Amino acid sequence: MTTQHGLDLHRSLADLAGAVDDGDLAARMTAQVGRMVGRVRRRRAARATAVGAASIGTVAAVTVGAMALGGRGGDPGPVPPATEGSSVEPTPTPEPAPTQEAAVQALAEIVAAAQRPDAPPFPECGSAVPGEEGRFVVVDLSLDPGPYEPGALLEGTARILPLDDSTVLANGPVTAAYVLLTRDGVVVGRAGYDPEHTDLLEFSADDPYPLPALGNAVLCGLDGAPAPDLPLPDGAYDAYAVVELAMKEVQHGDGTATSRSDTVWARSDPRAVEIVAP
Amino acid sequence: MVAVVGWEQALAELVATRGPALVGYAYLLCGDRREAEDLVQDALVKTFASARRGTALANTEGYVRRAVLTTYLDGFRRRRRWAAVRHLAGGEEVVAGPEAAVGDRLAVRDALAGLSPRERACVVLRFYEDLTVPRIADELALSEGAVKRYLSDAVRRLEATLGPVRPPSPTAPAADETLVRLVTSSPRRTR
Repeated sequence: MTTQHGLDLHRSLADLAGAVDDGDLAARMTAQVGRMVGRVRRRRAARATAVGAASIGTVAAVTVGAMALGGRGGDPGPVPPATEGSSVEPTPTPEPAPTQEAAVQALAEIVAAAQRPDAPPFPECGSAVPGEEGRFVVVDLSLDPGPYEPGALLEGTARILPLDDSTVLANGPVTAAYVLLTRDGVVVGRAGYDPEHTDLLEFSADDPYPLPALGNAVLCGLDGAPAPDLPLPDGAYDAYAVVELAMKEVQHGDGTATSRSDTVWARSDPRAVEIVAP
Repeated sequence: MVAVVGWEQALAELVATRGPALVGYAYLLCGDRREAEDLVQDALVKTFASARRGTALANTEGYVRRAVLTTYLDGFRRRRRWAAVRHLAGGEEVVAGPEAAVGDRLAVRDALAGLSPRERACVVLRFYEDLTVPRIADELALSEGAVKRYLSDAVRRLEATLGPVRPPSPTAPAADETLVRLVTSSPRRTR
């Protein structure tokens, strides 16, 4: 590459770039396509959920405003017919709002999705929370049990740490951990934000990596579809904090180190939360 | 490479046909093979996640290369920390070949490692991508004077270990081609 006119840096750089291909590179990259597709879907869904959560907030504000107007001389609504021989006016049975009915139906569909042969992988919407097997890195979640209003933002704190005495190096989020909400062990609601920024994290049991934990009490969308813009129905849920980690290295307590290049979803233990409409 | 085939298929095809080339480009910037693969994956995800639904993904590679560059420059702190421990992970960074060629590669790799992230980016864009100084300034959101300074400092450092470096040809055949590719694929600047 070096001639009497000096080093041909263009050729040297092209040679260096080409030499990175070890013959398995294309296969290695192709094997990651599924994971990349999942990440793209989650980001698109998170963006749509964020927009949906904002519109739910707008709808709630309009609803509250309309109720307030009703109490101040606006349209009082239908008047129940007078009952002969009784001085007590009957109280009309409240019917669930159309939004709540739709949310209950959507929730049932999401929970049922976990039983499908092609059930989505954790932590996608409609996936089942996995068991304890192979759990190595965990998230310690602190979250107020509520009650929260449907559509509310759930804010807690998370700490990422291994279960043994090792020190872990992994690429992971530096903005926040997702807070997922589950019903019957199935993911039914997830955060409406996109953890855009990742960094190389280093953590151990003695030095966990702290993060905010954020989620929305909003239904998620199945199969990567945009969230249906519906708040979670009233009831009890389990919240989990999760982070996606691209593992780099595990430095064991005995001084040895293991190189890793796999991706794992670390999760917390469940935290009970309650969703109650105001 | 357009959206009519579905973005999932477009992503798979881009990875299959251009994945190694993109990783090679990322490797020139970051100097670590595994980190280069991560950079390309992050750039692909960013590019396809930010594309609007139904938007034609024509010339996607240009977008991905730009995302690789910005992700590299945004995340040099991560790489610096990783560089401190990556020797523990082992593994060959570049594929072996004829002894002299391997020696050249290692020398160039080591010389690049002595540059700052922006110097390195300027060198890769000028000497590998054949971009002109004004185009590099546009890509990196720098003044042309700053790009010239980065290039001057970088070449001086490279020459200290590699010997004289031939000036890049202002009329290199690849230059126009690359310029057209990046101009036609430039997304709206975010920074």
